Amino acid sequence: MSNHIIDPTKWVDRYSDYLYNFTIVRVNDHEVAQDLISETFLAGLKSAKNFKGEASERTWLISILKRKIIDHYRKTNSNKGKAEVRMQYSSEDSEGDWLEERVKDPFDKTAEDTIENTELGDAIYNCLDLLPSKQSTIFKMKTIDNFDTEAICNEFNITPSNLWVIIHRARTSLATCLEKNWL
Amino acid sequence: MKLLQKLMIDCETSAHYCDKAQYNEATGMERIQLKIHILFCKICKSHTIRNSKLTSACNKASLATMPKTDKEALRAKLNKEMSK
Repeated sequence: MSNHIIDPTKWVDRYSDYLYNFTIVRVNDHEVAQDLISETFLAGLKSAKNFKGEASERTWLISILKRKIIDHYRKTNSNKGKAEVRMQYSSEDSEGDWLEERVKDPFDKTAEDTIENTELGDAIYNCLDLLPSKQSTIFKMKTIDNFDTEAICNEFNITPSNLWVIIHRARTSLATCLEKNWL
Repeated sequence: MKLLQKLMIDCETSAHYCDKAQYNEATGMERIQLKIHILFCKICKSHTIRNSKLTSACNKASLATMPKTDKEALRAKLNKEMSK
């Protein structure tokens, strides 16, 4: 029985932040992330008639996005890409400074930490999805995008006290949700 | 005596200052008032610890959102595709 319905007009509002966070930690490039999400939405639109409604719309989009990310890595690792030696310098000035490349990774940062942080990010976004949309948007603007209190108040036409009440409710719900699903 | 009264705050104010402190928006005085309050209030103390844990979790996860201009571009692209 189909429980979920598809509504592409709401995709950008509902899922763009979640998909972007999901992609950026995996491809580490803004432009590539943007392209992959755009391709995901277009592919979703094309195959909308195949959506059975067994999974949620977001799960369905994520499964398309995962395929796109795998394809992206396949493409970059194919043929010529594999043979290329890529040098990354911390800044333009340090170009050619090989010592920069030889600095070892910090002791306290391991591959496990990176995986854990990626999963934590996904868990936070899952919990953010359970909040009312206004709370979630304001929390994201304040916490992730570091917007000023005044800027958010102007955008939503609310007073600073209203904003802090919304932030407080969002933080409390988020902490409860994360305690259940993460800690 | 007046100073002591000024330093004492209620739980609701303490929760507000605690939220502000998470975004480095609490003043020095508000921080002192919060610290004094949680010395005596166990519930607010545990709330403050929980709130700080959430802040460090958010920092650790290095969350990102899609820039607004990119969202608009994506919306336009999607709308164009849907109208075909």
